[in-house]
Amino acid sequence: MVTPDALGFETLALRAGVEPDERTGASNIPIYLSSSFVFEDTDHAASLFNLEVPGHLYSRISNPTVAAFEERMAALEGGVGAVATASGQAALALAVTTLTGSGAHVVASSSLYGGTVNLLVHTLPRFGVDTTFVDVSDHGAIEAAISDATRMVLVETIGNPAMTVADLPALADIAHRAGVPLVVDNTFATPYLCRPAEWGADIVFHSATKFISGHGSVIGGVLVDAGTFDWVGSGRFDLLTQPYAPYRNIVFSDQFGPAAFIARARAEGLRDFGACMGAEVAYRLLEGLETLAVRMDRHVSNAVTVVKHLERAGGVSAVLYPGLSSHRDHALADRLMPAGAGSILSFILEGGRDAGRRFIEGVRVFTHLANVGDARSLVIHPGSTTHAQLDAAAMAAAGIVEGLVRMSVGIEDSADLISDLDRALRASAP
Amino acid sequence: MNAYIHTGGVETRPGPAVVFIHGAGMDHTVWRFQTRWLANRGMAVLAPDLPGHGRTPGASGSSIEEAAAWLTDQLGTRPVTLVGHSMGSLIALECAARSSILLEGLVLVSTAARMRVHPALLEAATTDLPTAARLVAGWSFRSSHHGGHPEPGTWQKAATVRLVEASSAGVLANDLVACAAYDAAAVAPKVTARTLVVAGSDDRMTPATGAAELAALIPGAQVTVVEGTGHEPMLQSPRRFNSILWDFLAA
Repeated sequence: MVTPDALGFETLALRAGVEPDERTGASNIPIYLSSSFVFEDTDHAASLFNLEVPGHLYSRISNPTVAAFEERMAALEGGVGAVATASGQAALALAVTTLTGSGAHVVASSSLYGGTVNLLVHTLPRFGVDTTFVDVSDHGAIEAAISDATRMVLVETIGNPAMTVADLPALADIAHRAGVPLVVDNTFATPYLCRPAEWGADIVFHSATKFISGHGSVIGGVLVDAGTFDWVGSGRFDLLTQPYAPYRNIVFSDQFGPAAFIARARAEGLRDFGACMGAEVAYRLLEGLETLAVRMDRHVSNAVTVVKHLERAGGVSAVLYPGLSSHRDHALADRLMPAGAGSILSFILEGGRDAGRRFIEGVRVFTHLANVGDARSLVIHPGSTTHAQLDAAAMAAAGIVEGLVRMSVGIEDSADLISDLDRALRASAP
Repeated sequence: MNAYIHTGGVETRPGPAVVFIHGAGMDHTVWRFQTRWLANRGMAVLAPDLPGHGRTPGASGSSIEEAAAWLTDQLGTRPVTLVGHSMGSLIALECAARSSILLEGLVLVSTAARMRVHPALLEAATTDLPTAARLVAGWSFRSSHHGGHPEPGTWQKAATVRLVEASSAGVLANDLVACAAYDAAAVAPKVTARTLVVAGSDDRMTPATGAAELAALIPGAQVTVVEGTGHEPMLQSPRRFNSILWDFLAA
């Protein structure tokens, strides 16, 4: 039987985007610390500036080291192209600004990272972009919320912090029937555990700061275009299907076909807003990707160990982890993420906010900080930190109660994590 | 039928034109690094989506001859240089052999004297388009390709898959059958226009040896091999390809 010639995930994670350097033979990508790139002549310069031929001209728009990271992420997510950004928030902002303008509307899951909610609720309305939040499991409500002005349906593969799982195939169907792309924050799942494009998502983004880096050392983001959405057929996206004056009336869908979205995101979004990634950051993220698969296997196995322990522990009223058979979305998680539901979980302490405070101050191996996806185990109280700017109703919609603690389980010796949990649980008891 | 013909983003002008013809299951965007570049250098560029492909409606032609007749109708009497890729190279060759076209030059990219189609690809094109798309993408690059694309951030393998997946039902299978049935070797000696054959050194769909065999049958044809590229040299090494094309057009 003849099968397609395609490399597996782990091989792509190590090699995609990088060829040995022709001049030096270097097998790894150099860190190209160069703000700008020399033109062959004035005609070459003009052709680069006018998007006629590919190449690097200025590192705000593209850089060889960053491009290697982008290409590797596109390969891992199964997309036609990617743009790396200064942070995950910058990747989201780039997606929104490439697809919307004043008068546009977003339909978003009510279970999202607090930073995303801030952008949608407090910032975008000032620019004429409004959002309707809907329970991600209520597909009828999502369908009903889509209006003529809607330009994207936005969800997280695994919602933060209630660990709700988005039914990506069903949501993609709903969005596509309305002529709207499905945009997915895949940070918690990583492309190792879930590749949203394979389930119908059109645009995927990450906070690369998390599992992709894996070491808590850098801030970065990435936006991936699956290349699947029919921008012309939709009729909603003049930004991609009508002439754009700054590049001599280029029509992105005519010129770039399946890559129209990511081409405009780079040509306009990085040019105008400038939230680009630096070469040194890209290099560290490339190194992070090399071990993503083995780290995620360990993250998942440690998370399962921790979850099982928490389920049996006194003082814990609920454990929220999609890998648990008791979780509302367990069957869905099994289908979309057969290799595991990640390593981020939440649990609710019976003693409420005070118990949460004592628990977090009682840990010695877990680290108390505002991040997830580090190789080290982390813990935080979302109600007073990452989601503190949400009002009571939004907090309730996101599943945040006073005793909720969010945990990102690392790759340490699991026995150390269990003994640390026991110590902190004892400290949290009244 | 309203044919979609890309002009490189510049309103086309009358007179001699460079015509780009895409391959099986593809559309005009495979020429994205050539069309806009040439159009902004003062050349009239025409890159049609063949019937049933991209944005041109209708049924795809069941033979190379039928596609060539359609294209000849579209071009009218203007002088043209035809640049065809893969199946498009066979259409260009067939057009070149017709007396009704005013041909200034012929560029055949990733071509063959006899374009064989792997039976597994033909079967997949009929029954399982996503697999067919992945077979095409896999064979379009050298074995174990892992990137380094000149367009920043582009994963070209997926881009090739998406183009084929987006084609209408039956189009790829029709195209492949048409390619396999066409006897390029019989037509090649009739060509009188100046001809350049361009091949990718690592092409596994239409190996460079097959391209050279075809070139040997065309009077005066030149062959250029683009090192390090597979089945899509115009996408995989655009700077080198454009240099070769420019020299041919300027000669």
